[in-house]
Amino acid sequence: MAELDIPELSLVLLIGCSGSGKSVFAAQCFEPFETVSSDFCRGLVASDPTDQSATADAFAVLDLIVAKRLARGLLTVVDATNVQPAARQSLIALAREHDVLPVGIVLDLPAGLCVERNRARGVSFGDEVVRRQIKSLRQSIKQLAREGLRQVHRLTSVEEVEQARIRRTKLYNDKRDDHGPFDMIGDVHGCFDELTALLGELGYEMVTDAEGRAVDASHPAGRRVVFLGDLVDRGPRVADVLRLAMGMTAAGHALAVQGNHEAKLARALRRGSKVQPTHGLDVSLAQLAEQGPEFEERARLWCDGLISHYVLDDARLVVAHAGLKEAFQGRASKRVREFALYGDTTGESDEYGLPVRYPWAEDYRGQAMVLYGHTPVLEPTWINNTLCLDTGCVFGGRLTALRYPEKELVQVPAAQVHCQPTRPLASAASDGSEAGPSGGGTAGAGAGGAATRDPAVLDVTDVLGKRIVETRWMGPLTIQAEQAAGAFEVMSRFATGPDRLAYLPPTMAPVESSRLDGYLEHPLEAMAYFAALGVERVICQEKHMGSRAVVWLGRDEAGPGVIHTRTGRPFFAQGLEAEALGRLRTALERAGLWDSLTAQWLLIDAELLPWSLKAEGLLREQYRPVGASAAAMYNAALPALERAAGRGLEVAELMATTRRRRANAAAYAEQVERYVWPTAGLAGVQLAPFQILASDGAALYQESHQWHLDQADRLVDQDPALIRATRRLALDPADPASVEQAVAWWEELTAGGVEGMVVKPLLAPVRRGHRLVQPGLKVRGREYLRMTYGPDYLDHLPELRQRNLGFKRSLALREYALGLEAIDRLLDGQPLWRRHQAVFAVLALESNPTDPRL
Amino acid sequence: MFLTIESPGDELSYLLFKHPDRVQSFELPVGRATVFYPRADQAVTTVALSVEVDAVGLARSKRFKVSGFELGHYVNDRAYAASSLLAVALGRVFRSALAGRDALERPGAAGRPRRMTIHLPSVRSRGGTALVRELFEPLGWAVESTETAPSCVDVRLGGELTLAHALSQLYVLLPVLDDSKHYWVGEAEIDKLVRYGADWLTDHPARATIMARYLAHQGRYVVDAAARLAGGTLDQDSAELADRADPVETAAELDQVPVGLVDSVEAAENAADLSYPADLVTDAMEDAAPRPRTETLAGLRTRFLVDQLRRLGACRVLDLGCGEGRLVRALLDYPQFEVVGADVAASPLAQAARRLERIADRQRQRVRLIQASATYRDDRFLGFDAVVVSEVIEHLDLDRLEAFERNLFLSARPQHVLITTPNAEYNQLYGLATGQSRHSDHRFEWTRRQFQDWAQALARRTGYSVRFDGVGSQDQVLGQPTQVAIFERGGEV
Repeated sequence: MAELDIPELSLVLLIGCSGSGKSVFAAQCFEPFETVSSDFCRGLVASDPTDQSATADAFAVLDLIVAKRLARGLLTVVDATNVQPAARQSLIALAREHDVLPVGIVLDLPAGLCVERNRARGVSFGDEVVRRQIKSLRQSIKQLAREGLRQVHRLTSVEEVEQARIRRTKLYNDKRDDHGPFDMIGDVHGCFDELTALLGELGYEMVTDAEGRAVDASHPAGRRVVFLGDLVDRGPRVADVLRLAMGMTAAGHALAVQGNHEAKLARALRRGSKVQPTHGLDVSLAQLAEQGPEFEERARLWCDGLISHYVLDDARLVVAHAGLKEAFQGRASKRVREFALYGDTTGESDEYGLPVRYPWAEDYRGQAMVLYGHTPVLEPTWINNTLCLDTGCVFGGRLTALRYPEKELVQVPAAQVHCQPTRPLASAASDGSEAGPSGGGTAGAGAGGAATRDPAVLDVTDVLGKRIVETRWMGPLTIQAEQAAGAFEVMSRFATGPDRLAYLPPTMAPVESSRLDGYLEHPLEAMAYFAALGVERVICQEKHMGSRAVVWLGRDEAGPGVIHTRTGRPFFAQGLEAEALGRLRTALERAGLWDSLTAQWLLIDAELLPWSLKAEGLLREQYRPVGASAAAMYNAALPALERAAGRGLEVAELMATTRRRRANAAAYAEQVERYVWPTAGLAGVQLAPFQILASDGAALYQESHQWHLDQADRLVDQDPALIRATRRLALDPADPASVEQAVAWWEELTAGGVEGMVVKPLLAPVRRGHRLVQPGLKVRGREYLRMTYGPDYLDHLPELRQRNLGFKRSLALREYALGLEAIDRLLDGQPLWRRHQAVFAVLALESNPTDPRL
Repeated sequence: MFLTIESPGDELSYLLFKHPDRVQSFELPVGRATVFYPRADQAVTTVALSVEVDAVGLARSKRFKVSGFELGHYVNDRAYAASSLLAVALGRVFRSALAGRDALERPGAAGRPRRMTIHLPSVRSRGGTALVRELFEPLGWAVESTETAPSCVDVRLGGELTLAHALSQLYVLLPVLDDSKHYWVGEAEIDKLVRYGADWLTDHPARATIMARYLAHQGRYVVDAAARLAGGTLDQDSAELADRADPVETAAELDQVPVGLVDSVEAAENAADLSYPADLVTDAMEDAAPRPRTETLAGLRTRFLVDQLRRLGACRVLDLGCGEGRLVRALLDYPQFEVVGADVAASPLAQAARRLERIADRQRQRVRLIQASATYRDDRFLGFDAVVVSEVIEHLDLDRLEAFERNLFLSARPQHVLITTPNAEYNQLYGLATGQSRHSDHRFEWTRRQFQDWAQALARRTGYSVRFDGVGSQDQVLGQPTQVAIFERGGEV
């Protein structure tokens, strides 16, 4: 029985004439979806799998399916005759494009048999076609490998075909089931003393041979070393480093990926090769020559046999000498290997004649942590979940290791400068941050020879299109492309700069509709909601009728400073904003909050009043005209009705309705005016802070709301003209007396013209099982709701009670989780694009066609 | 909604086919209409029509979700202010009167003009009291009108007309005042306009406005209606005109004409486009050759940019901030251009796409539209000979110009960049006060000095050279209304 080895991720070309049994073979050896058949594609496009006129269209579909599958990293089998070189060539090109190995399985059966089978299944085309196909197949067989097929299996008899079994082999780079723990070591370059010192620091015990030479090192806890390549060249003890590394890998105490220097050394050691002994290669060659030919040959085989990258620990970790972008991870092709060895380059050379490196890490958006060396840096710096561990030991820097999964750095200094660098070292961080706007983008030959992209640059692909944002509090949340497109304009044109936008606040869901007569919203339902979820304490907060505002403020003026709306728009022109921030800063200073929170900046959620400040347009175009036109109409209609009544007409009912509605309209107009007052500069403007979300040192959103409001009170004391207090009442939602108290309190507030109240768990976020509990429910006043549902809404309570709150609630939770995620990402020091994705997602969800009045 | 009609004598109730001593109600899709007579004697008859609109029901109904008509909001004035809702109620309740049917009891009365006073205490008028006068006075009405709130007026009309004319004028002009309808405007609206406007619309000086607004600014409908009112079919010239009218553009620009004083200048820049339907209507009616029209500043800019791009020999052109695709469309007339139109907003892009639906396939193959923004680095910006950024930068906050520079001049690095922006100095010729800008969304407007300083510093930082030009009529002291910077990539940074 023939076992055919096929790489787990490959493009398999079945090659054989019509009637050679490809489809049957494919069905016997592969999963149904793995096989893409040209006949099937003909059927798709032409409703007839034998329609030869549809061949071009069918292959267009076939190529597309193959491309999509390969992009997703799935083994794919092409069931087509593939007897023509041109047909194979396009498929091989497709495999290369996706860095997948192309493999051929040839079904080379006798012509008579194929003709017979075709006749039996009633295929119309003649025997001649089959014979031609077989002829072209026979001519091809020898050149298949040359065409680029990495493996070719040939089956020549019916028995062989029937008995063939596929064995899927892992790619050499696939070590996903190896979970470590590991100690990754950056470029050693023959620095043997430093290497042994580092291994000692890491807790490895050396093993020496009879002559006292280090031949192995092992860790008592079973940890293993991963050498990130470039063990050789330049440094003083290349042979000793190699001996140790070879011993460790042989003993299973280390893995090693190939560096560009190993690759070149292996080439140089091959007999008859012509390699320029530059960049320290001469050092290696001289030292290895001293060890004699046997060692030289062992070293050559070892260097040559190294794999260029590994995917480890369930694909959470990738190691490669020069790093590896996401699309190349776990793939195999020449360009994958070249990337892993040499990194990404712009194709240009710098003033030292060295290739200009492209900072692929700046663009990296992958899930796997990537560890690499190759480019010496002063300090290892995390860039988008990637870290370079080459700290230029041979140039007098340090030898660096990273413990995985602990992410701890262990370093030893170089004993001396072993080799002068061609160009000066620079820290990875400075490549980006010093580049500024004029250094970004193109061939600026920055220090370290890396073309730099400002990490502050956001790419359009970071936000547009469908996206899944991973959150700590709710797991993965999906943003639809339509929502992203909706938010795109607001973010681009109206919001403040993304770097100033740390957070956007979530929308808030209203309470379940009340069944009490004459009420749409009532505190009882809010209490019942939280009581049913076992929330022991809630806080009822006065709900100010203004505009939601987020304040991000630094203790000194160099820090952040912005006051923006819930869609990220700055509230004030620059001068006024600075004045408002200055007042707040002073209040925070005087209240001692900077010190008590040991904060350099604070992120504060608040309400800004009056409503009319930002709603001027709405007020003029919508809210006031409604009141005015209602008054004008009813004032004309009532006298007319009275006269008709005077004539004895039956208009009593219409008159009663008209009177009631006139009163409703007046009540509405009065309600609107409660939230309107003039401002001049900051005079008349008030800010009611209700939550300190975070400081530079810590997330504070989990503090109790009582604490938050107590801090706010301290600010009110300092500047009562600008800062407004938020009244509140903390209580147990399950206690009937407390509930009664809450109802009374709400009635009193709303009778005084307050919009309503928000009921929140005193401590949030709250989870029940896997689910988040609403962080707050709004309970709006009976009169206030005229502004939401229209002056006459109380006439329509039965319909309005049917409002669908489910969507609004889900939206509120998702936005809440994304907002918290944005804060946590900020505090984790994540790059701007990661923070921006969370912030943008809140705005995108708000761009939903949801019922905006809820 | 409420309306009264008062007329001397007792004929009114006969002509309305409604008994003066009865209160009659009619269920309409939008609510209940009630007709009653506050007064009905030998001397004077007053009829009242009251429509109780089910506002909450309408807001919740999907049927009335027509864009531009605010029934979709719970808080709207539709229950109070007269609009197309009242017009429809009139048509339903007073159908016979509207058709001019004679009452058996009073033969011949329907055809006789009669003195009438019509009172509409609350009417939505986008155009205020002035528009009310403009629409009703030419028809012989004495108009008393006061504004009760922005866009909301009390209207009292006095005149001597046949009842059918009076009702048909209300039927047509209420939605015209509102510039909106609560239902979808299809071809059937042309029939209605022709039927109810035949006797009085052809000579109305504001007929262009009336037709455009009544037909929701659908250019083709307007042309069709005008031709039918003129009593003929479209001749060759008019048909060509109709093709050139580009109704999508016209409709969109009319919709987007900003309201208010400050915005009026940019609106004026597009003024000739606004008058397009007016020209068409007049021409179709008078069967005259089209009048030459003055070119707008926007049109001049487009022509200038096309000229420059041709002179620069550019082939691949990106129009960053293409809006509804005016320049994109113009460039496609030249086969050398391959054009990408980019805009940050989805709705103008959709308009641009609609505009491109009507061009030849071969032209369409040379154009692509994308949603993009200068805030984000974008690989789709790579590989252009020229990038046009026309009337865009002034819509960006100053602190965003850095990202704009980085993403365009450093990342994309096209051979040429053409930037146009208003010349603030010229604003005084528009009668704007110092510091006042041409459009409320302009975050800044620069003098020539400010623009040139910025552009030259940018060019130095990014390795470009720059020269300056202008578009529009030249003032000796203040320059031209639009200033232009033309950048050329030269050397490395």
